Amino acid sequence: MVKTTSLILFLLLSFVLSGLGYEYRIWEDVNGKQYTGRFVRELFGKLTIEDKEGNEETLGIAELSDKDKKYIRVMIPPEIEIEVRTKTRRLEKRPATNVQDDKEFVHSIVAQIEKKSQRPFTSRMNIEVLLVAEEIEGDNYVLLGRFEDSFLLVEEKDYQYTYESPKVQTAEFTDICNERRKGELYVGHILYITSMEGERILTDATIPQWMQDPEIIDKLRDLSIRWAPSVRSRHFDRKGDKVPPPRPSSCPERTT
Amino acid sequence: MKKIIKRTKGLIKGAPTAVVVSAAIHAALLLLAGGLVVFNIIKKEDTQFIPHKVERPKMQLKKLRVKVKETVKPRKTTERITSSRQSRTMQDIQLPKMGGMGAGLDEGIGGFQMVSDLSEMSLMGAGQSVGNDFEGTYYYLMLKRNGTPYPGMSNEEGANDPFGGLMAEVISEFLHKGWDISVLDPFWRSSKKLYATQFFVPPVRSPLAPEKFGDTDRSHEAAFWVAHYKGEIGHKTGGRFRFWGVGDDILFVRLNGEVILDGCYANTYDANWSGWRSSAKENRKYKMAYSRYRVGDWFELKPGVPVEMEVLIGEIPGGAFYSMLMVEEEGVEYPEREIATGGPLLPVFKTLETPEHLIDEMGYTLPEGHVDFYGGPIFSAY
Repeated sequence: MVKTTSLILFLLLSFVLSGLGYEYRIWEDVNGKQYTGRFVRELFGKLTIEDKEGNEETLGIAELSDKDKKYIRVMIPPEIEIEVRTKTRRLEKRPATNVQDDKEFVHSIVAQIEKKSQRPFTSRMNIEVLLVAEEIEGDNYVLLGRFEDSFLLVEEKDYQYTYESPKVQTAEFTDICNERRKGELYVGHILYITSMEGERILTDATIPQWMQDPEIIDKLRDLSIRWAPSVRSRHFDRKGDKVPPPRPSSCPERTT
Repeated sequence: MKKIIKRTKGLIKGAPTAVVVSAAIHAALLLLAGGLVVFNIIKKEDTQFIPHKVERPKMQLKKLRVKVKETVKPRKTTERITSSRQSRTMQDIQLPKMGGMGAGLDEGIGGFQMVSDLSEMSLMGAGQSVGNDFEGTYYYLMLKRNGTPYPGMSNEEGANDPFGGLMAEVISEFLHKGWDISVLDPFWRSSKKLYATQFFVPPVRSPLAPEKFGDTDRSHEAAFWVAHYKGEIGHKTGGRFRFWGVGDDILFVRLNGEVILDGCYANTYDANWSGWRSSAKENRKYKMAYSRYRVGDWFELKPGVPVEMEVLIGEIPGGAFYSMLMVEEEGVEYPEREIATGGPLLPVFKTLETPEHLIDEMGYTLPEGHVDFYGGPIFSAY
């Protein structure tokens, strides 16, 4: 039975797309009137463009030429809202002596992505998720997993897409050598939605602010590629650099 | 004649002298240029490129020899659970999950796309052969082959007694019958094989093995299991070697049909299931994790000659488990370990270089200074 241990809602109301990064181009309405500027925002079926002097002009999308309508459909992502839930489930314990205090959990996130714009958007969007834990013994953090996917919100009626990340596992146990608690405690996630051109559309995060630093995220991406095979090899410090996992300081002898 | 002279005169008379001179110069130049072109073309034909000889050292290329194992196909008569009884245990037996990211985690972690076979290597081995490895088969002795409980094989019924319990009886028979796997035929075995290139599991929980071998039924107690690995080793230049190792609870090594190490945990070692005893003065002298090294017999490897090797690891009552096999090469001086009992800092026995991610796993529950994770020979048979 799935137990939801935390429910995190992030509603980005009236999320407004930033005009940064969009090219200056010539816009034309159905009457042939031309405007030069770059896309700034879209609100209630109207488009705001800005010329190089910073002057803004508002144009109705319905009044634009077919070429410009296509440009908007393909190049300008719609407004999006997202609701992210973290699913955590404790695993049944396998019977064995001396493992009574062991705990194992599986975690995943479910993101409900909803398009708020009525207009269609025909390009794929990418989703990238990083799931992070902290090591119980010491100051290390652990990259539990990094996942990528893509999705379409094509038609006007096709408002929603539900993304569920693959499961990651954490374990808490007592080290047999020094009898100290070890393992991973789930911290949270960072989720990015980007356009195919790499334009950041939305970010949703429950990991600490310092961990959201783009430089650290880049290092974690590298960690996920080079050190993918083992969760024990994906330990990192507060700079995002890979560090070795903590080792027991001693292992008292019990028998010869 | 007169006419001709007249015409000639007329021609010269009608053109300026400069034109005549210019035409003559151009004609001369054209003649000269044509001659040069002809000369050059002829010369080009005569020219031959003679490369300058440079002595370059030639790399000695070796033929890459990779042992390719055929995919293990389940044998109808041996791999299928044939009981018609609908027991709970039967229903719960699941096929192994084949996800590549299940390192220590039976639920698995997905999403990482790896290309190298070694990237899948876990402490118990990889799901596919990486060449020059040991094929491991997992036996769960608490269940019969058909998935029903094996009578008497439990802690409650005293099967864990190393001096005469049922586990001791079965494994002793296996060892004394020349590692006859038919002795293990009555027991449940996993259809999933693992392919190991080393035997170094630091102190972990005993569920590691069943999870890695694909027994995902968590109602199965993580006790009374063994894993039998079989492969070949070799050494490029040959030499004399001996194994140092210790297991919690079971670790036996057999080379060319002879047991050369009983590395079992204290009470199991004392019960002497194999009949093999160490003759090394270093035996049980130097600490390793929370026990002490057992030291094996010397053996010789001839250059490039592969030798058959088998390893049996296992767990009796459940709980803690480890299995650590190191190797010593005769004539090599090893650094002294800086731990209470001292002893040589020996390298891990391996048939391929240990992947970095595995080194992190190996160190997670073992203090530093016990073992050399990086050095030592590679016992490649190919």
